[in-house]
Amino acid sequence: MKENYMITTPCMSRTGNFLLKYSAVILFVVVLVIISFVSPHFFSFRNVMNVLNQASALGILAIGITAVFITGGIDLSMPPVMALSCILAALAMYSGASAPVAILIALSVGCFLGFLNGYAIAYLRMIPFVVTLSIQVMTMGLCVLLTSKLSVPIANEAYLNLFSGKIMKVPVSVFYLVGVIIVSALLARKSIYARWVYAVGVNVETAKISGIPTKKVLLGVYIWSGLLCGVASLIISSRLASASATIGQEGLVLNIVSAAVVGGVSPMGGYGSPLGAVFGALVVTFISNCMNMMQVSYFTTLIVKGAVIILFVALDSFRHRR
Amino acid sequence: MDSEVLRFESITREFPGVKALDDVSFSVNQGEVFALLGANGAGKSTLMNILGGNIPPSSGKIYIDSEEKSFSSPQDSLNAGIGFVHQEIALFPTMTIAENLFINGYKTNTAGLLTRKAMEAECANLLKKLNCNLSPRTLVKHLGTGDQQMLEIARALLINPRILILDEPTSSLTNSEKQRLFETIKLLKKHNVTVIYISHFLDEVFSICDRALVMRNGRYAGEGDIKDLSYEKIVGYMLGETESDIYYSRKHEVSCSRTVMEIENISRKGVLDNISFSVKENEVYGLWGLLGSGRTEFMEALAGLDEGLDDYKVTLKFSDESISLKPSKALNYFGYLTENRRENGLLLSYSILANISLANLRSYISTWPFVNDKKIASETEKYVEQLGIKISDLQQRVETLSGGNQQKVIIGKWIQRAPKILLLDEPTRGLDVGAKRDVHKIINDFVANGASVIFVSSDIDEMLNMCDRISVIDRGCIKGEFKPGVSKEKLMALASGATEE
Repeated sequence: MKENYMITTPCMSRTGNFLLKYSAVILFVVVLVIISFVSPHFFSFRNVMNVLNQASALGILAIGITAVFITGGIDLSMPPVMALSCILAALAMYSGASAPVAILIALSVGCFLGFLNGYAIAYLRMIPFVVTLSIQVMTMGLCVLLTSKLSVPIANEAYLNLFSGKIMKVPVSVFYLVGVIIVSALLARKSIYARWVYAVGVNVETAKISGIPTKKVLLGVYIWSGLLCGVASLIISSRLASASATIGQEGLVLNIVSAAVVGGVSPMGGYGSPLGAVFGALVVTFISNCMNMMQVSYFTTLIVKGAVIILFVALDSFRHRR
Repeated sequence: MDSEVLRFESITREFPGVKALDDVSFSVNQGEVFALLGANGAGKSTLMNILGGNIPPSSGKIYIDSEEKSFSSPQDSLNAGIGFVHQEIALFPTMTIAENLFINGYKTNTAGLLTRKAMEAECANLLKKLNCNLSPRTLVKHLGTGDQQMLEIARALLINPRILILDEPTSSLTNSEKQRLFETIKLLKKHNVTVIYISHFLDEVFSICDRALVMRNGRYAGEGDIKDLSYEKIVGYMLGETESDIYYSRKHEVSCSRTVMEIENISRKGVLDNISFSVKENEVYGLWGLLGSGRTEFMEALAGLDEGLDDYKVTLKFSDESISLKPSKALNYFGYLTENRRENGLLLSYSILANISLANLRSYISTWPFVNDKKIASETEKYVEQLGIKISDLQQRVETLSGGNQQKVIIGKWIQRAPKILLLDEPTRGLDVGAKRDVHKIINDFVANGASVIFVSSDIDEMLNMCDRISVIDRGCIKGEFKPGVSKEKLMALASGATEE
């Protein structure tokens, strides 16, 4: 992870600095070592590809929340927004819509809900936590109503092939993830929008006085996270060949947030990069897999994930000395 | 009376890469008002933070009453009888005066419940001693800055300190508030309290202090009894050279140039009352008023940041077009340097590069939406050099710079965008003499290149020196417009509401 032009390292002792900087890498190595003991066959090409396939949607969602985090906000509505995106796309295909139309529907639903979040936060000056929590609950309700708790099967071959096939033994989802990484990394490093997003995250007042359209920036990051919910929904729905409300289960928020904070994205705003978030998504996926293999109960994994979040948020506040 | 109460011996403090204090030794006597002077970054604050127990020295000793002390926490320092009034006011606005006063340890009865009456009585007593007619139950947010400052002092006096540190106590006070502060200091002196007085304002030092010590670049530069010191001598110690002209002397030569901005009416009920004036090309237009006169509110309104305005009629008259300005578009045409550089002027934890380019990113777009980082770096470098900003490299965090250099970074940010009109609210506040002069020169050059500046400052000499025309603002009203030859007394009388034009 090359350093962003805005980020400079804090003064600290060398060891402390090293531990802070590479805390996520250290965690990753620890997890890998545990895995290699628990299941020596884990590192087969096929299995690793499998894990990457699982990680791809999470990685895309983590990139989405990264922009929101950098502005100091949060988007709790991501999982249900993702669910609603693919439910509506699946329903459309069910009634005969073509794959491109379905894709367009999924992406626009994501953007629209992101717009609702962003508009309320930027222009009505509401608190991100409250707004996105409300949208989360409402969207979830809508998902269940629309599907009567059933899953909507997807039979459109073109759609399924586009998002869930394999190219040279590598799942296509991985290629989509790489594509999103390239676009977002490029935007984050080089685009004027990213500079504005970072500035808003560090000090809204300064940004505003410097002529940055702060409200549009805020609106933009929520649309961005909504859009990426749409993208992730395409991958997940075609992997399952169906869409249902369970895609948006609450536990996913935990994974998205842990991916971002493990990847060094500061939930207090101003720091972080999409590449970091993707790395965080990988770490989180490996942790889940590791605990799966160790046959740890779901509830124990919740405890572990929660602890990981707290640990990394603590490291973050150390890093930026607030 | 001349007994030594405090002595520093060879105090050195190193930060990574810098020696903030280098072998500083001096002593302070019982019951004197001792001025600690020096340019920004001279080491005054570091030294006082060591005395206040906030940071330890790298080496050196502190003696109180000839007894060696080491302070590892602010509490140690308090126990040794040292009270510290910081430059920034740190009170809780939604709590009462009494609650703020006892914030470090509320009085309780045997059951552990608060004894509000006893606290309020003691508070009233203390306020009376300071000639403050305030009810202990007043909420702090209803107090003016001067009263808040007084409350800070009262809080420091609660422990009956032998030494009281006042760090830039007057930087946000009006003249009458200042006078009251001086009365308080005299009172403290009468009670044999030693006051260490840090200030940029030399006139204050001459009127209130007994002795002065000047620091420069973390070292001792000179000291003396006030009666033996002169303005020039102190400035000489501060600058390390014998130069006496404090202000960059600006030639006033705006005569017949055209009007570039016509402010017909900016109003907000109860705050700004039908403000109108016009600004010419190459002009530094001064707006002078006391604290709370509405000068900052006006600047905010003009920059379009006040959404509750009742009226906003501003016309820009550029050579090729005339624009009726909308508030939301104002920042497209203005550069705006606010009075709080740390709060809303800078991204403190970001690099110089990020800060200087911040307002001008649009012009660095090479292929939409990407910016050209090489160009940003080379342009930033240019302005850093032109403005004489002292940095180690462009990636350095702005928060590590001295106040003067921080201010230059903000000015660089705006100059880089080359606005036709620059709004400057207290651009030299808290800067040392050298940095002040640099800023004056920058403003002068900027205006000479065809731009205009609206200039707000508390410093009347600075106003007279820099501005081509000066308007006096009082309680949201423009009271009159003057040429720079006007007498200070006249401006002061108008600004304080004594006379009507």
